[in-house]
Amino acid sequence: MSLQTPVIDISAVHFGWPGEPVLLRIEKLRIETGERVFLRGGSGSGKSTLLGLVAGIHPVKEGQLEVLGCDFTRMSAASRDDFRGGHIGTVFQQFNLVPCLDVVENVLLPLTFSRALRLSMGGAAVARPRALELLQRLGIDTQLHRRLPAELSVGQQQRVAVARALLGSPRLVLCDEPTSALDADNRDSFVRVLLAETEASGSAVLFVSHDADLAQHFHRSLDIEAFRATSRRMS
Amino acid sequence: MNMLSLACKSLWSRRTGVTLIVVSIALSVILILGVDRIRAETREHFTRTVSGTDLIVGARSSPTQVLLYTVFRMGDPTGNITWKSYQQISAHPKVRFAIPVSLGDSHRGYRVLGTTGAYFEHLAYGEGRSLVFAEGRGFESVFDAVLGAEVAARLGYRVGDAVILAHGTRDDGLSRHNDRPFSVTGVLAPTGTPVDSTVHVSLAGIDVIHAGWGTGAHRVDGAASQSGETQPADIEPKSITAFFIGLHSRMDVFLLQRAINGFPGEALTAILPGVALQALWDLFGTAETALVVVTSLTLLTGVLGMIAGILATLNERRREIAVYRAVGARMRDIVALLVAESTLLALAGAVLGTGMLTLATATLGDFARMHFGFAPSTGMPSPREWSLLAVIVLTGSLAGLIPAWRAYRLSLHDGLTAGT
Ligand SMILES: Nc1ncnc2c1ncn2[C@@H]1O[C@H](COP(=O)(O)OP(=O)(O)O)[C@@H](O)[C@H]1O
Ligand SMILES: [Mg+2]
Repeated sequence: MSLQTPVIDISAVHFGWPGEPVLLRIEKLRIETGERVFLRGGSGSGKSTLLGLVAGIHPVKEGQLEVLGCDFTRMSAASRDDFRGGHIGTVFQQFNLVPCLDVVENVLLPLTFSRALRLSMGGAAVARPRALELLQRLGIDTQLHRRLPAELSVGQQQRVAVARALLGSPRLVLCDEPTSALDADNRDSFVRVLLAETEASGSAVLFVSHDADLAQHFHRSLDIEAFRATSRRMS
Repeated sequence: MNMLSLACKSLWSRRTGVTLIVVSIALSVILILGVDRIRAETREHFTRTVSGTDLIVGARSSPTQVLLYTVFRMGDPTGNITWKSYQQISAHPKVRFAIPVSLGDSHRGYRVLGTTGAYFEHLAYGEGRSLVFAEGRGFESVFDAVLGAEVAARLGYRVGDAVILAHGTRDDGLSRHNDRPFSVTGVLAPTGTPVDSTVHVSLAGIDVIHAGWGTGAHRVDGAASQSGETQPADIEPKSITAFFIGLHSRMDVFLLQRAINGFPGEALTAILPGVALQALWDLFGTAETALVVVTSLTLLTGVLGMIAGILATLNERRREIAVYRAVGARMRDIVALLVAESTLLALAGAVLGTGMLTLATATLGDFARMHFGFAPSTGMPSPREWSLLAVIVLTGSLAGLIPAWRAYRLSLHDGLTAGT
């Protein structure tokens, strides 16, 4: 396992929002292939910011931030976007879906923007069976396929979002509090099916939540405080 | 799905608001193309107020003045032409037809023009359209009158009615030729030219009622006045105001113009009506510019409405844009998406506007032709209109850069986490 390129390899990355003091100071963070990592922390502590760095959304200038061996600190914003489309799946708290597209169109959406994905998957016609298969495995019935997101329950929407995140069998899936809009029953079944599917596609998972109960499903658990420039745990 | 169909889907999902934007753009397209079309048609129509006539000859003065009093019946003639000169020139072998006209009288605010049957036979307007009788026919005897469409409609005259002319251009009731009423034998169809507002009488009739007017005294009765049955050809006027000439070959027009301008017997001016009309129209150049400014402003309003419409939706679409970013959209994709959106809106507005205008001109065309004598042309947009449409759509696209820039700023701030 350690012979393979790590999925995430961060060292000495300092990040602060423009005009503000440094927020995150990540001296070392490594996530291996297929590893499931839980990241917890309070609201406003910088969890989403960290995911944004790993997704290549926010530019990092200092230190080293490699995803699948690609150094984001040396890539242009556009090539980081391309990279994200082709290799990283994302699931957020809510409203993961484009309101004007139906379920299947939403799952196939990454093909619209990612050339890398179109190349690796061979266009929408070829990718469609994969999308339908994922939807089926995530428990989205065929009669829901033509529905708009607004016609689905929040739990169903989140499963569709997982199907989309896994469309290109990405090596990394980023989840930003995907269960916080779900009730307890839905939450557990969602996490189970998410982890089963990421396992099936061999994706590593970086899962952010303030809900410590979920940590048991993961190989490893981290606290955002470890990466914060100034600790908020003051005596 | 490509980005264009994504933009279409997104627009379709917001169709209520989008329809309003498209309609407002369509309305400005209608205004822009409509005003431009009317402007072009008016110019076209104006510069063809007379056609088929190669030269207009009057007493020596400026071409514009000759044009004003002969064609538009405005202002006063500078002088007369002797009948002898008219006969000499009209007998020239290159002359195909000559129409003598005599001006100076009026009837209830409308100018009276004395002429011969040649007027109705040869005078044309527009693309060589000749005069048509809506009712009745031309002169048959000395005291016959033929009314332009507007005169007949405004004053409510029909064939058979009597018309009393007034001496001079102001009909104050004092200097009427009361002794000699003219009877209406015909009414012309509308032409959209000054012919509509002219009372045509036979040249001989004019001559008869003016016999004895040289001193300005009202003639009570006279031998000529009594001879109502006299045929027009029997009476030869001493002088006329001007005459229209048509040639066998248009090539000879300058030759003849030179000959007339240097006519030995009398100081005459021959003008080319098309050239003089064009020169007169060019005097209105500033009015045309004003029209262009007004239409540009309507385009601006339409486009501003569109920008406002797109900007208004942007805030609630931040989450949607964050989703695009999450699945790999680059910043330039977001910008392209919004520019595509405004381009589609402008395009839809242009298509709708052109369609509505075409429909309107097609249905109102006959009405306009009947009442104004001319109508905007129908059918496919002209090359000029295509380029106007292109400018409109391009303006719409460029305007899309404003909401696109706003979306760019928002997305840069939001990253992947707008609204969560
Ligand atoms: N786009 C942004 N620009 C400036 N500051 C931001 C931005 N996004 C988040 N922040 C700030 O960064 C800090 C961490 O935010 P975030 O990463 O969203 O926390 P969490 O996800 O842990 O709740 C907060 O103080 C927040 O105000
Ligand atoms: Mg967050």
